[in-house]
Amino acid sequence: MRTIIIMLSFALMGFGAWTQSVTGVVRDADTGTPLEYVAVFWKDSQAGTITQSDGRFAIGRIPNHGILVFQLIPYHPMEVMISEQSEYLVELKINEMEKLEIEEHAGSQHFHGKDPHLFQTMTEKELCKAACCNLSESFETNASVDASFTDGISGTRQIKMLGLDGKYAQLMSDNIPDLRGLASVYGLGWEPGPWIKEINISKGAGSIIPGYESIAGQINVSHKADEMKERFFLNGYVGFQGRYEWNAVSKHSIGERFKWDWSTHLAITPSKYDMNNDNFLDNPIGNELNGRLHASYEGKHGYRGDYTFTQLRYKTETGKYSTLGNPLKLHNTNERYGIFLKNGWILDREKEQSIGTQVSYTAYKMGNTQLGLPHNPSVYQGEQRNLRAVAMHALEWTHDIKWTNGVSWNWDEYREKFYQWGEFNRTENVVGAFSEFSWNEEDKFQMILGMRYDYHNYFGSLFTPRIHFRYSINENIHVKVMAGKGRRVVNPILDNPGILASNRIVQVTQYNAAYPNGLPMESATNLGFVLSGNTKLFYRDLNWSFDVFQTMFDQQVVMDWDTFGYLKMYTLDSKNGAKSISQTAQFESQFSPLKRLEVRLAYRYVNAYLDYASGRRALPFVSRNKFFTNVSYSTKMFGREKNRILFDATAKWSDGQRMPIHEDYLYVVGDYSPAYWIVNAQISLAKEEKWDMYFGCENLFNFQQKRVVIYHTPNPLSFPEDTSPTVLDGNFAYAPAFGRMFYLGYRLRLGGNKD
Amino acid sequence: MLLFVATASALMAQSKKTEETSFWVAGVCGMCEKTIENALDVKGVMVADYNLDTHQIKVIYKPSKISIEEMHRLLNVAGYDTEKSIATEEQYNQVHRCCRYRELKNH
Repeated sequence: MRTIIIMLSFALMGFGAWTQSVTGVVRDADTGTPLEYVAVFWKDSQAGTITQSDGRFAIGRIPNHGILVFQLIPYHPMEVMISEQSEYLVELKINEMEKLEIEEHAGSQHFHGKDPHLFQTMTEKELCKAACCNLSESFETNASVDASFTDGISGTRQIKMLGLDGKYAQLMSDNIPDLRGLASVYGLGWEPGPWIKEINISKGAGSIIPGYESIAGQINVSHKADEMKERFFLNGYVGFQGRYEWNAVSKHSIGERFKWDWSTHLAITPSKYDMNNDNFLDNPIGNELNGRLHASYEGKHGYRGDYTFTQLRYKTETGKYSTLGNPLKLHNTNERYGIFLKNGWILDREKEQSIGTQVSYTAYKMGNTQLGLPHNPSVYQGEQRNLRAVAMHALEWTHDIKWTNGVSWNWDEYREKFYQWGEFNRTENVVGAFSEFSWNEEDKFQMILGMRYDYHNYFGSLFTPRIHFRYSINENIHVKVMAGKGRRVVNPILDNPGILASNRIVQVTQYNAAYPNGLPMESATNLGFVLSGNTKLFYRDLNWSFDVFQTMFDQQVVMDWDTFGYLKMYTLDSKNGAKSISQTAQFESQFSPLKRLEVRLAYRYVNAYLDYASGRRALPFVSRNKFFTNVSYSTKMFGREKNRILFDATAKWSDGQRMPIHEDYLYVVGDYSPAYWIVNAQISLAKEEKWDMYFGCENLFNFQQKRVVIYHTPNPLSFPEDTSPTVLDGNFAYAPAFGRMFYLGYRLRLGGNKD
Repeated sequence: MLLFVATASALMAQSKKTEETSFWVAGVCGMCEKTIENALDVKGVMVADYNLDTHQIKVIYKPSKISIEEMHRLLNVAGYDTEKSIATEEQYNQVHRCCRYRELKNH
């Protein structure tokens, strides 16, 4: 139904006679401002014009057409009967429905030049460029976060940021700290990629509100189910080396205010592959079942609640399966569930005052057994229960000044058992208060000053300040400077999952009885500088960023892998000037040399070293130089169905990495690993917002680390009874053990648009 | 970085053959934006960037290869009205349900 309203039409000039053209002014009915770009055309004809900046229009009369249509989004269109009069005043009313349809437009991965905390966001579109089965694999197309293997046996991936292990990055799920403590390494493998809407990456200390645990950065994952456009999403994935995954996400609503959604993930890896012929499986076999249930309620008086329940079961099995010699099997079982409750109340819409609470409870149980070693069967068992409660108040004094204050309580109970150590437990109880003050002069600068004070039952008073400053040189170039402190408690076994893939002896060589496990808390200061901007190149945007970060530990538990057969843990001797520093410099740019072709280039330099008890050495498994490039091309949309074919390729070059010192005559890698390239590529066929199919290849040029595991058994002639290996060590993984791998998958989106 | 600057300036010299213009095109949603930009994804058009808020499409093109009239025609063919010409009923009817800018969801 077309609405025909004639608000006002009168003759300004009394010509009265038939003139050749119709002129007039179009303005907003509510504000009276003249409207530019209003389309004015004769109904059922192709003759039209638009209004000028003063709202004026002029259109020639054409025979047999007497109705003029005025059209401008978001206004109601209007039809006006044209009589002999020649000057008209037309007023258009806003169509309220129209204002809701605002969609954010940004690239698949973009820098946050203006946000002092955030560095980069990877969107769902970016995650579709690679297989991205889980969070640890999602960083394949990102230059700032590296994913590598913890060891050559378990197939566990860990991330690295700023040259530091992933345990120094704080992981969050929908802004609530998650995957902490015992889950900080394994946890990345549990977050299914197809559930993710976007990943926000902060380099450096980041915001103080989630806690003091970020040292190298913060990674926040937001889930697509919460704001999914489609009603139902289905994903299937087949890795040709025997990996099958299914994901389903479904969204429902009951009434206007209550919404709920569920996500499930099932992964089965039944086939045993040993592509590098070292008798050890390259990837574990196993199965994973993962579910998430989320509901949200929007109340009448500014209330919003988010309630989430997650559950995970994950079993893997890996090891040596060849018929030659004795089998050696490593079993790993993970069970976890979590409840996350978020509540928010807007108290005062005018002043933007709000109160928020977060309560979460997670329980995680992990068990590791090794069959074929003398300490059969249990190697490690760990349990962590976490309860966290936060209440905060946010106030926007003026548009420019924002102040957030809050209190938090965090309780962690750890019960662990390691075959070499026996049982060891700890219960952490931390109460704290935080305050974050933000002063934002939109186009000029922004300063965020954050601090928190916590009282820890083992480590006493902890004061953690952070400052972030952004200055915009002009609209396109932004400078950010940041400094902050971060700390974390060490989990001696699961921070180093490689222990479970070895028979190394784990020793705390400097035991301080005052602390849990005899180990102090780690604390570090991070300094950062980011310069980013955008300019035009090839008529299109060129985004670039240059950043320098330095992380200095003032207290650290040194994980010393440099005595073969041992993992030694001791405190960094900072009192006597021992240093542990990681410096990184990174340049990254993305631009579009041709239509629909996007190129991303990045280079990173890392200088990370540590004063071990036996002298200063570079951190192991860190590439000094790293080069990264990602190219993606999309064809023009074709066919009535608006299909596209997309091509993506990522190439990464890693410089040699320092290997832990070893004295094994059979092990051929020297002090440094060789440099290598890894290339991944993917082709997908997509129909905009409906479905897509993808086919890809990881490690296209088949670079493999041949010997990942050091494994010796006693001479069976001299010791026929003893079948256990004398040396088992998988901690020399610098590259993938598997070779070229192909995969195929689909994504289906149903019930996309509202009508 | 230097490489980019060098290529950028090399392109400056070349860019004299191109012209920039912008004009009004009807459009209501993200899908319209994609369809509109895709309609001008043709030879001779270097950049076609549609802004939903202002309803303006910014076009950088080579006048030797494509005329402005041709661009308006292409947009009409895709079903969209422009400031110079209006799509026919038949052309308009092929736009997606969510993109029916003439009805503006008053149903």
